[in-house]
Amino acid sequence: MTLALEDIRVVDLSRIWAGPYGTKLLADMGAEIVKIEALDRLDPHRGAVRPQAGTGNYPDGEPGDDPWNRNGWFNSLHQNKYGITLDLSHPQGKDVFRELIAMSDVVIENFRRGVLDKLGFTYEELKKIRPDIVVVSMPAFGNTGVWKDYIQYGIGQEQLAGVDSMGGYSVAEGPIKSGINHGDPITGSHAAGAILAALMYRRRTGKSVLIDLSQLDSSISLMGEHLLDFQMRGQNPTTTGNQHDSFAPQGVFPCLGEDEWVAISVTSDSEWLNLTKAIGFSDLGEDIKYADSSLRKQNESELLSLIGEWTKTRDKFDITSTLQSSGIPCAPVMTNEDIYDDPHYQSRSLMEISDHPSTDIQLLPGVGWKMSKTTSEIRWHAPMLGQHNEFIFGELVGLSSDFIANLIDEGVSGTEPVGA
Amino acid sequence: MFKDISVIDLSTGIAGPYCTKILSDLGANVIKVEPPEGEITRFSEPYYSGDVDPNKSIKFSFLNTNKKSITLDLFTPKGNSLVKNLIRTVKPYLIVESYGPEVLDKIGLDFNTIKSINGFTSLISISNFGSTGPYRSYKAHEMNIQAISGLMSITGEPDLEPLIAGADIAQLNGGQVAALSALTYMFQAMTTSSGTHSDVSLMEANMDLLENWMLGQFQGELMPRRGKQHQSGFPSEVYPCADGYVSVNASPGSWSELAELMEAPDLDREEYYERSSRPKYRDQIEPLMTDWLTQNNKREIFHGAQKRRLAFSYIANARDLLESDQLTDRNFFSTIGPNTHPGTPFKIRSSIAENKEAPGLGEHNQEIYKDLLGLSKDDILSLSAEKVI
Repeated sequence: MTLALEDIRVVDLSRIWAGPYGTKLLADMGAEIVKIEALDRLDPHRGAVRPQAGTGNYPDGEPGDDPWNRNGWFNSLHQNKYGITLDLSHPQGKDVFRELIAMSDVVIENFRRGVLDKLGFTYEELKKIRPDIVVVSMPAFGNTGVWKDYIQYGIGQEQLAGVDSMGGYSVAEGPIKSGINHGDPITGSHAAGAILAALMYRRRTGKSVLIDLSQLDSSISLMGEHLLDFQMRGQNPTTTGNQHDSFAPQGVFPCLGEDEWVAISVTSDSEWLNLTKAIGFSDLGEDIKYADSSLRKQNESELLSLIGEWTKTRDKFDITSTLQSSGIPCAPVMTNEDIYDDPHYQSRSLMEISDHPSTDIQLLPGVGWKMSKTTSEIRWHAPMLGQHNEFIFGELVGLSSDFIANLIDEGVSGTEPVGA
Repeated sequence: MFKDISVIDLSTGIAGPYCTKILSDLGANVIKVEPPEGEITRFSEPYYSGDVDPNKSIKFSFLNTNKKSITLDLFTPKGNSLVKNLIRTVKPYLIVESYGPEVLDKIGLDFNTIKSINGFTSLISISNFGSTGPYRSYKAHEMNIQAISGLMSITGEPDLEPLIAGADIAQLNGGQVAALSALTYMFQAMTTSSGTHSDVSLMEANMDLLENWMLGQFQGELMPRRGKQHQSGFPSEVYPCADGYVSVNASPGSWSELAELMEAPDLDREEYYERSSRPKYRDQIEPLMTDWLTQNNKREIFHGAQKRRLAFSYIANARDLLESDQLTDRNFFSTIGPNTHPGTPFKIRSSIAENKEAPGLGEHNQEIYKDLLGLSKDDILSLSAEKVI
């Protein structure tokens, strides 16, 4: 098995979620990612150097002696990457960085706008070092536009993108954000796509590319039909809660156990008939009151309570297999615990094991798609802080061991964090 | 730059067409092969004018820009041999399909057959749960995928039922992941001559996006639903304002700046400064905040906060987006026909010359069947009469 992207080298200055998720997608397909952190400014996802009790995300809640190597947020996004430490504000750090750029295809960063420029590495400067470099810059709102210096994170983008105007139990109860900070992973995924497209462009033209990616623009990609709807019919999107705006019944129903739920969608008349048979209400299937989708829509609330009566004494997984065998779209509302125990995930080997010296065994999700010819697997765990300094500085860049030792003496690199 | 890259798109619905839209908007030549009556999204409400019309679905108009449409019934012997002829002639880098596990195998359009026609063509199969595993034949709609991938269990109020998240987020994410696999193969195809089969599951695509959240299990805890609260810590949640809703956040600027923004000296008390102890004072703080918020408009609140380095946001609607200075200033939108569409989220120089609206049903039948495959006028008429195209 070969890896799809094994000829690509990416210098990765990105932090937290959006950028690291983008480079994780590429790393899982074989790209060589060299993640750079400064000893006094670790990726915030490594957590505090000396965390307060109850903060961070550590195995069994234990920060341990080296919490920066144990944080789940970091360790889930950096498998298959090389990790080095390098102070880009130090003259020697800048020199080594230049050498790395010269032998790399891509640089990616998601600092606040202008940070890399101030370090002396504008796009023009990077192009001087490597004339066909692909540069991805992804501050919150991009590098242009009247909001370019505004501050935002993945947590605040789905509101500004309009997605949350469609979230909530009802219009009267107001909007509710999705449970994840979607602005981060969607932008990371776009970054990975943009890098691949830019590398194809470069291969054809030999030219460098600057990709200016905005989390807001990325998040709006989910809104296309609603933007058109406003122009065509003058309608702003709204929320219908867990009910669908055309077919019925659809809902989330309580099941046996505490806070256990199942999501059922009846999208056609035949599914409705099948549902009434499967839950033992065959007479409803013949009732003219519920004969088609619009009638069921009118009488949806009574149907929802009837179905809820049936579900509440049953297990969500049993309900799913019963209804699915009758051809009805149905799924358990899975929690994080359920996902780890799920036979379907397990059979598609999504949970791969990665042994990490500081955390023992971790279960990690695999890649979002399966490829027939190339592999995508967890080849090594997320790097400990500065784990690959010797390999990258010595074998890749070709620095002498004296030079590397000096970098460490000067505090330009190392494996122990500085500060809090 | 993708103009000499052809894609044959057999997919229907949302995820597959969104995948190929990303490619067609980058300039790839996407030939959409639809059943003679039109693919299912042509019949998805609402329509932009009047009654049911396969050329007027708003969802379809968004998902199919810059594509060509031909009609073809793959499940008839003639249609089947015609699509093979199309693959032979067009030599696509990619075929994208979403019929579900084993459907194409049964009609002899499996990956091995495709490979034997054209060795470097890759096949992307998009399905709800993937082509293997115990759930492979399960049916699912948007809500079911959000439920099974974990998103619903953390969306909504803790004391109410789990809630679906806005937009067709699960299906669009799945299409996005499929497009990434497509770009990977196109990149590889520049150096190798042998295609790949990719098995994209919407459930997994969505779980991948959630994985950070999933690691909550490291602390042995179930992740909670937080309702209007965005994260632990206070304030980080949605509040009503005079003309809508805003998300309030007291960082990275200081608490004093928040008090100043809200013209509320009573908020500027030292015991409120420390983030970790601030939740204790929720009952004192909240009325002071809502008092000011409900007297001001979302945009003024947002800009005022941002000037003080407070990462507020507001709940935008479609009009807000279309009127946004930021988006206009960045040339985010594309004008296609009479309408404004969201631009590609990443722009590569010279990707496309002129954007085209979603095609009418079978709009390119003549171009493809007559000009490209060289069928005669009579052949086309009889195929049409037999409802093969």
